[in-house]
Amino acid sequence: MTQRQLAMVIDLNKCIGCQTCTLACKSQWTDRNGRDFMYWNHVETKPGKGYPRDWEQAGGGWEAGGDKLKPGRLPRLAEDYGIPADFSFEATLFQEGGEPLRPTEAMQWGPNWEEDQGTGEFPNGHFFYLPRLCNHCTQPACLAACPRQAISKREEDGIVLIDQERCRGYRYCVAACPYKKIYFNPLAGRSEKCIFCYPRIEKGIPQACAYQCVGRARHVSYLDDKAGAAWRLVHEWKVALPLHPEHGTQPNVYYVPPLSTSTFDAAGKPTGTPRIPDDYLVSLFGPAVQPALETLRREIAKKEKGEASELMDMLIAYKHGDMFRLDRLGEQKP
Amino acid sequence: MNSRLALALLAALFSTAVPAREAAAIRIVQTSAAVAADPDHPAWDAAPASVVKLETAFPGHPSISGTALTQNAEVRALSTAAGLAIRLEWSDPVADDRKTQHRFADGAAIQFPRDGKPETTPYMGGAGRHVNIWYWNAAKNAAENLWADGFGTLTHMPTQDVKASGRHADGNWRVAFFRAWRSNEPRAAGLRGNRPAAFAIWNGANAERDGFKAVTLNWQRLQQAK
Ligand code: SF4
Ligand code: SF4
Repeated sequence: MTQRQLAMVIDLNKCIGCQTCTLACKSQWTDRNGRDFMYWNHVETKPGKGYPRDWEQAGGGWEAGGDKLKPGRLPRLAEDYGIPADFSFEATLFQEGGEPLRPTEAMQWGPNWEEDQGTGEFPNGHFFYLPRLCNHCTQPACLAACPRQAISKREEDGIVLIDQERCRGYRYCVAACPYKKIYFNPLAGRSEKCIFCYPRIEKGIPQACAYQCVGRARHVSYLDDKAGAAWRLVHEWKVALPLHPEHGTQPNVYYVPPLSTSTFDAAGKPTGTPRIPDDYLVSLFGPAVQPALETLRREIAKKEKGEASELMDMLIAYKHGDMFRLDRLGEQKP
Repeated sequence: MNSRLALALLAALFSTAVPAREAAAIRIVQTSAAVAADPDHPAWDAAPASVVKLETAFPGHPSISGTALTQNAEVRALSTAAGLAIRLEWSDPVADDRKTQHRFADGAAIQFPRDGKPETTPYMGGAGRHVNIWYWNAAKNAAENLWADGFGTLTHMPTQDVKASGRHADGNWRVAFFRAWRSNEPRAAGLRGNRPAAFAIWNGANAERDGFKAVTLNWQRLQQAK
């Protein structure tokens, strides 16, 4: 455990899949020098194989007991990440013939390949968006896997960083991260990952992905700050849960799980069963997802009746600034 | 005595007679040619080939596991007016000369104790007794000059004055290393006279990198021809 831990809560009921976060991150950190294929932040459609493809089957994380790492595999560029293709802007915009805009090379996969596909048959099809980034885990598998101690976790905020001077591109960390949120840069010969925008955080400015989020879906605060959204949503209301907690890394990006409307029966009548099956959500967020959804339904019902709900007010985020509390220790506002 | 025991005894006898880990003597032959790091220079034909036996290195970290594929390498050494040239040659059916997201490149390295003494441990050196490593990687086809004083301490030297170049043909890598006799790098190993040296080979297709490599477990001996 570090002295403090910065945490992010992403409300999946508010994420609209616009990818503003993805682009905010990409234009800030990964649009050059061998990083084109990597998305430190991306938003995938669930259920789906995600990015990199089948990352949930790629291994990594801790064995039960937490003293041994599970083996993991390295994703491939074209098949699992997707090549950073150029598009036919020249032909589409400046030549006659009405060519539609297309990648100039055949693509097999990409960071948002299965957008809005989801699963299920009409009228009961369903999907939701899952934004993903490095979880700046409390027990980072990546850190433990590195034989060179090139990965560290900062005492003051728990941000997990790869020292680019020490890294020699061995990629044990890529295999070990169960979220596949470390990327090997073949040009630099080193591994790179989300830095939780630490230069911004040090100035009290939220991460680009969180600050730019048009859905007001992302809250950021230190987990020990009891007035912050992270502590309140994770510990007080227990409606924000880590993704795949079974890997044992103790992620610090938390998700408010998605509610869904009722399925219809053959006669076209609502059944009362949510479209996103509970067991699917349990497979992502663990058994704590059920009480979390209960709490959300209960609080929504209050609001619908015109009653007050502190939780809903916090999740609605009437004031953008209320979503972020980034004061460093000793500078905290009441 | 049953036949299995007899066989085992025979195998034990045989292995004492030809110890796999015995240090090979590599004769350094003088040449007037400017060989530098040219793996195909005709001057190499004058240098006798010593075969060094390689085994999977001791892993040193739980992340490192597997059996390295390369079992031996031929080493030749030439002493030129400008410096010392060493060529490694080993069999590897496929040249892995690109690093991609999931692939590793082939590699080779020569390690010298900084003080020229065999008391320095050949497993990346130890505290106070560091080693100088010349590392060649097929993706760059160039040398990196490094030092280390124990597992996980490998560090790029400020002075990069080692040259290396490799060529893959007929299922073999040939990689020549070269450094001038004198180096301005204070951590660099001296090269004159008889020297211990150790060798390592990485097969990229087998995901060998870092401590996952085939190595000579003992120091080998580089010997100046009289
Ligand atoms: S999400 Fe992966 S890369 Fe990030 S800290 Fe956890 S184990 Fe490491
Ligand atoms: S910017 Fe916000 S709403 Fe848009 S995809 Fe990202 S997390 Fe979702």
